[in-house]
Amino acid sequence: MQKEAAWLLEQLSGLVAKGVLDEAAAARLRAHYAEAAGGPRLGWGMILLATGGAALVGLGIILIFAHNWENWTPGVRAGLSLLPLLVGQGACALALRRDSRALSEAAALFTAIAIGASIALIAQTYQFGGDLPRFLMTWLLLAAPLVYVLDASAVASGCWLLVLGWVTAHQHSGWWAQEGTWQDALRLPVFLALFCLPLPHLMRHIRLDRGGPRVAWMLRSAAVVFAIGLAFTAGYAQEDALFIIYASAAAAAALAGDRYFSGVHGMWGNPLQLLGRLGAFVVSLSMTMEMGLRNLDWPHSTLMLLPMAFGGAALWLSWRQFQAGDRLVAPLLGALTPLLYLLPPLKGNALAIIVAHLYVLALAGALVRTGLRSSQLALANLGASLLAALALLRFFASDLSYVVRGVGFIVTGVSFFVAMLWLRRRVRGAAP
Amino acid sequence: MNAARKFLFAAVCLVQLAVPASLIAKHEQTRSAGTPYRFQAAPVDPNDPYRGKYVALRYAVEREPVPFADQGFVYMGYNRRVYAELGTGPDGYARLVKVHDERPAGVDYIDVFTRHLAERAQGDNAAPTAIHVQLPFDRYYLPEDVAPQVEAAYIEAARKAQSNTWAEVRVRDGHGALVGLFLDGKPVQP
Repeated sequence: MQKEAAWLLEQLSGLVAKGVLDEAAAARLRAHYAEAAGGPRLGWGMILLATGGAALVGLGIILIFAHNWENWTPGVRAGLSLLPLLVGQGACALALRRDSRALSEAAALFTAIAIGASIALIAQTYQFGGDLPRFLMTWLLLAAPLVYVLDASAVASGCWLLVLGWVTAHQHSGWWAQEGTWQDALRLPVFLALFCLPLPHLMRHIRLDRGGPRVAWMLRSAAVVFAIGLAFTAGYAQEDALFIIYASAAAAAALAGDRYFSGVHGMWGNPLQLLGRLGAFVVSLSMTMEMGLRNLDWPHSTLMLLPMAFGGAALWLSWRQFQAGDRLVAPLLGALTPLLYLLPPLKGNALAIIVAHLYVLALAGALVRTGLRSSQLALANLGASLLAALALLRFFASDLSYVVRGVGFIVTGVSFFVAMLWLRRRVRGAAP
Repeated sequence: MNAARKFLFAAVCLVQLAVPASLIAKHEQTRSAGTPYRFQAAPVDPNDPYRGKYVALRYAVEREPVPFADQGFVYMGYNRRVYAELGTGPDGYARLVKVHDERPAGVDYIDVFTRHLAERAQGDNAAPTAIHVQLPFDRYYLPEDVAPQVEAAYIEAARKAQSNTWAEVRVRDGHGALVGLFLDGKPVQP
């Protein structure tokens, strides 16, 4: 039954694309067969108990070892270093035999922590030199298979955190440290390769149960790690290019959240949509400022692949959303990356500022209109907030007196509240 | 659990154990069969933070540029792994004799990491023929309660003009294992 249900769930996206099923029917089938395909969904309590318990036990054992460490000979220390790992592997074997998801998550997380502890303890016993990036990469590569063997999503999130640790540490120490060297050129490809290690696991669970909490948690971890990690992959000379990269990633994430997760989660349960929209909000506002435009530049290194990939994905998703009936927000989000490619040559020209303002006004209007039409108050609020933020920014950037600015803030704030109340009334009136 | 998954799980467990076990085996072999060298300590920058439970180590040989083994040596930037041929000076302390970009045969050597090229004298336009390197054993772990005192003693001892403070390292096939730290000739017990 489990295999058949998993097969059916994997077919749903294709069936929706071909028009055999509509998205609502697919969502109902997902909800119905998710339990059979992957076992019962773990509730918050179970996830916290299993993973938190495993983490605490692992860390407790490490602390006990550390406290008595100097009393043991190097041979005993080396042997004891492997003990947590062996215990974790035993627990993993038990979890696999019992086919228990809660136990699998806990055992895999414990083993993942034990791997790091074992290597660190051996390094301490034998006085290894300090190379944090290499340690983190070794830890990551040894822990990553647990994601697949035990179907462990907590370890997948842990792997992304290790990737983040690696990319932040290698800028400062070890054999990856220096700017302008061959390590610098490899930083982005290696970051992307390491980041992709747990992705097939996430994709599988999106196909099986995109409404489940484990998918939402993994998406949150992946999105946050990617966003922060990306900033560390760019050398100092490439920092200006991050603007276009983040803009294209935000547009692609918002559109992917709309297309693949809309209606499955609420706003907080749809991290791609939430982070993507917030990113597009910040980026579009930034490009209306002279300072934002001054720092805008095209990427010239391997980083240039990212906005091309994300921008291409955003264009394709916006076209699919346009076909599905979103005639306003999706095309504007899709246009964000091409627009940012057009702006750098216009730096210092008033036309760039005018184009940026027109884009923000159009996006804000589209968000409000789509929110009203689809009875999504959050979307309408986002559009109104974008308008209010644009108005406030102009007040900040102007040479007007403090009194005039103060009155302007008050008028904008009151207008915002009035608009909120009006939007709320309209959305409630439009709701069935 | 089907047979393929059992096999996969067993393989993962073996690899997870093999990595730390190989580290243990490599260091045990070097400690037991490696050639001993004494690396004279150099003062540590007092601004370097004392991180965790170890003493940060620096060596006198890191202050002197090491000549290239041949003129074909190409400098590829910081942190590139190269191989330093070892010798012993008249004072009994280890010396880095030459630096090779490939593993030398028939001599003791250790893996080191490149730093900057040797400074040239004013008016000297010739290409550099030596390079600064960093040794890989840069920390000595100690119990938490004694580490601060040992670090203070280490800094004090390493500052002396005729420093009698050294790290004992065993070397085998390019791999160096730090086996002891001596302050003013007395061993520090980890």
